[in-house]
Amino acid sequence: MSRRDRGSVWRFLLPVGFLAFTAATVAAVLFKDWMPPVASEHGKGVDGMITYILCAAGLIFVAGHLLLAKFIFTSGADDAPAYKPIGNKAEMLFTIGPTIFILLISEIGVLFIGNPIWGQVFKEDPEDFQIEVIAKQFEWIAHYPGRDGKFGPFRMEKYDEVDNIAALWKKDKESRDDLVVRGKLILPAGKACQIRIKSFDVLHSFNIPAFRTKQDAVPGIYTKTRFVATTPGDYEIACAEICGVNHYKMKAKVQVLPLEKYMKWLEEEPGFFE
Amino acid sequence: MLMKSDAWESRAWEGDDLPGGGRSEANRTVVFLMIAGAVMLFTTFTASYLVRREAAGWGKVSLPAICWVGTAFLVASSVTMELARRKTASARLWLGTTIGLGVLFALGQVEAWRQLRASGVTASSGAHSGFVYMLTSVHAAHLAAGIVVLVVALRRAGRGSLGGCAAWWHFTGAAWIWVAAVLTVF
Amino acid sequence: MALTHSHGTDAAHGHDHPSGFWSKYIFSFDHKVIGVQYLILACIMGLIGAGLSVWFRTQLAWPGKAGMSPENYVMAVTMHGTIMIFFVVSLSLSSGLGNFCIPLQIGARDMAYPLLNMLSFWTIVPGAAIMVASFFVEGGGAAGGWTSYPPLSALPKAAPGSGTGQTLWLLAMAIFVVSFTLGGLNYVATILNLRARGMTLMRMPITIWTYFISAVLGLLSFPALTAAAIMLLLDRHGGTSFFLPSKLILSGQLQTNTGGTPLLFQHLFWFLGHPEVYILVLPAVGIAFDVLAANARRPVMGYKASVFALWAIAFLGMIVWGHHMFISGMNPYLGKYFSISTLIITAPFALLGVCLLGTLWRARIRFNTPMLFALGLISAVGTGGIGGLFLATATADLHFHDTYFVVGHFHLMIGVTSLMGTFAGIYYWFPKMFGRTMNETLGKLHFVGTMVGTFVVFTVQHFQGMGGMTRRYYEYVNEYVKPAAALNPLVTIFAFIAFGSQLIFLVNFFWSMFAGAKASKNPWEATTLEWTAESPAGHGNWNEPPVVRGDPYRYGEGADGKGWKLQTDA
Ligand code: HEM
Ligand SMILES: [Cu+2]
Ligand SMILES: [Cu+2]
Repeated sequence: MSRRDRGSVWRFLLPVGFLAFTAATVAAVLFKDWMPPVASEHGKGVDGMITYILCAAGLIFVAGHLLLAKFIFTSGADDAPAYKPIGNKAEMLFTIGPTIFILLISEIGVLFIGNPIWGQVFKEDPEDFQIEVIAKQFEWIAHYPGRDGKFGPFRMEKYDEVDNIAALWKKDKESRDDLVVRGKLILPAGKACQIRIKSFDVLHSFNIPAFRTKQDAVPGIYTKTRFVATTPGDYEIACAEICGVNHYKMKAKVQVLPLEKYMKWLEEEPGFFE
Repeated sequence: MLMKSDAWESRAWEGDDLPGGGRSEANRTVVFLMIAGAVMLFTTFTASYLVRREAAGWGKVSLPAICWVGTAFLVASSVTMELARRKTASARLWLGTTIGLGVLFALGQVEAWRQLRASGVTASSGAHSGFVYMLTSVHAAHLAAGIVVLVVALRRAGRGSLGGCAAWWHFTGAAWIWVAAVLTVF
Repeated sequence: MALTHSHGTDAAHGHDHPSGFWSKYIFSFDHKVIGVQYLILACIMGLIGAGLSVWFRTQLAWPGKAGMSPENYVMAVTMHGTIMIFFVVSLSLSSGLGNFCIPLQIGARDMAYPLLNMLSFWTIVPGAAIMVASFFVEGGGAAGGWTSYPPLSALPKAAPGSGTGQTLWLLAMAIFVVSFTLGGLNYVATILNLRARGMTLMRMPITIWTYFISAVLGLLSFPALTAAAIMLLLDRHGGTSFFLPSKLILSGQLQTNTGGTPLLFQHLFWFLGHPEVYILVLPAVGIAFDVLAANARRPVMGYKASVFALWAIAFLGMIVWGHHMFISGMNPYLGKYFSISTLIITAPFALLGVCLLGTLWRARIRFNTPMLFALGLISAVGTGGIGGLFLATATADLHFHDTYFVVGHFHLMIGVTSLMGTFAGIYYWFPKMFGRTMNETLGKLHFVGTMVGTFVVFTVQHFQGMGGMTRRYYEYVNEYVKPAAALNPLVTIFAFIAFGSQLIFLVNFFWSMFAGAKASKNPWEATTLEWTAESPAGHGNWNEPPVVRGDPYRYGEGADGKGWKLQTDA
């Protein structure tokens, strides 16, 4: 190892490298919108939360790297006089200050911005449209309660890959008018939808990136999530929990219709056993 | 208990005037940590038990009466273990008794499993019976480790303290009462 | 221990010095030999683990061109994660360097239980072999993700690797846990009880604190994984239903289980899983502190504050596991709790980071290879930690969970940070291991390649995650993800650079072992105890027990203009 490192290239290379990395990362955040266009109400809140952290964390990220670069660049050479203590006060300020700052900004973010939105996602309101989503290897099935507003119960014994994918039973009167749609989720715009999610086999995750919605499908229990789609159009479900070999192909279309059109579709579509 | 150290163990390196107390303290540390780890293990099982209990297919079974006889053996063995630890002169005798009682308990467990099986209770016949087999087996493994350690201690009786062995042995006794209580009360 | 050192020169020990090849290099009780054995095993496993990543990265960049089927993909990802965490980072950083430096830095002749130590190593070897062998059984290796969540991992029919492959995976993991637990017992006992005279707790190098704390964490959290693995095994082979709910339908067939709760497994897994992250990261940070102090020629900033922060991180680390489960179906109120508690950890973590950074304040830096890695680690830990702020906020996690944002984040933490710490440690202690130094030019090349490669790969992955790019995907067929997935070739190219640099390291490591420049006793002019032993240190480390007379980082002391003092100096 060389002892005379005064002219070491690393004194320049490292700060330049760290600063270039910082600049590139900041530029990537500022000049490109990486997120899929948002299409749900709470999604805007999620994006707001993310923007808040980006600003706060970005500040720490930049400040940290600037300091790192500065300390490296201005460090004394090996023949400089030995280290002199900095002084307790300055050290305390330097350590405690940033620590408290980070704690405050992160807790404020989660308490005042994050948690209210989290609350929206898990709110239960009987006024909401109820829709059920069934996950199975490797497809998504939408199950609507139909005119009676009641979901038919599951009869797993009646399950059939081709004829009865939602495992309903003709004799249950709640099931009669239920709608079952394979590979496509049709939703109203501007109206809150309560989604209850069921899995028939392993874990899956109901993920609509454009809505900032993600909720695991867990066999044995219902999981719930809620959103208000804002813009009519086509979106996608992409499974977000490994569920086997074809996990990557486990997608479905999400079609958001204007409210009247959606109501009309609900009216006209014949029930599963009709 | 535990491992024999290297051949060149020496007081200069490992004596009790080290800031950490040296080798004899190390044995204590290890026993303490093993108990702490085992406590975490049984805690995890207990927590799982309490969670699983809320769901379907619980099917509670009760422990065969022979388990309670075994409990008495274990309690008695803790007493003899204490005697072995305190009475250096008759340590071997008391150690032997402790081992004997431990083995009796283990035999009782085997009989308990046999009885359960004979009455149609298997690990897969219900969720509770799954826990019964699992928890009693995990406990039995800890007890077996204790018996092995005691046998080693018996062969080296008179040399070194029995504190570590005793702590572990009392722990397996306490763990049994814990396990049996969880399996019957909840 | 050194491969090249002859017996005559170290007349150190009057006791039975191991002589034969077998007792000296294979079944040695010497903590230093065992440490190196772990390192070498980790190198072999690292080649396999990284090779897998090269394979699946090729598939991601140029779908269909890597000769990889979707079955191969899920298996490769699962095995890559498992091997990297448990058989590369754990083995090199925790077991390898830990074994090597603990007795040397605290002034002990060896571990408290040398035989146990040797057995720990020889327990893990079959574990590693079984893990590797599982590739070749019917259906291939485990394919349920390194988290192996049931029911996927519990039902042989759910995935091709969920048959024999998953059983062997569980077996290998069980062996790992046994070996790691034995190792942890040894660490704690050695550090607590065998410190040299004068080595009070608050005089221990921070490296030792981190090994101590991570060993304690491991001992308290691995039992949860043990319990989970036992129950999973029983569900797989004993017909029980701990994790398997009623009336599952697999390949059109109704299953017979009743009432199990899959979420239970996730709680148990992450009760271990989160502390495990700290087990892997903290020692790397500890090593960085040592290397930074030695090469910045000043004491670490805030020694006491750092020790406090480490304990705080460890304690809080045990009550935040639910941040991996925000959207798992766990009660949403718990989500809020875990979000708040996790963000509290940012405080001690920030404290640690500031102390690392502050150690460069008024420094006189020597830019040698270990120092470069320690400097890189500061950036990696900071950048990775900032990603953690996003993931710990439940609301933001709605978007980021199980995307490449997570992949980028945890690689920066447990991949880059841990490995930078490991490399810093290896370059730094190599003279003590083999009496030779590693080649500096190759070392610096290794550094540049690692730094550029990994930072580009894992930073870009954060942005891909923002684009909603889900992880564990064989190919990106969704429309919305096309812009993010378009970056895959770029990421893969830099992954190749990162991988290639590790080959430079391997060459350097094995070449320098035999042909590196001879090193003196204290080549870095460092102050901690290991530098008072010979290079390479013989079996038993010192002739006379060292006596400690001061703090670990005595840089800037010493009246004679030397500017530093050994810990043993008056
Ligand atoms: C050459 C360096 C590496 C590259 C390019 C790389 C790349 C990747 C990628 C792309 C994935 C995600 C694949 C997917 O989700 O489809 C992944 C997963 C993973 N990697 Fe790495 N990795 C590297 C090194 C490491 C290291 C050093 C660790 C050590 C801790 C590690 C631990 C993991 C884990 C735990 C997973 C998750 C596996 C799972 O999803 O079950 N990787 N890696
Ligand atoms: Cu999936
Ligand atoms: Cu975590």
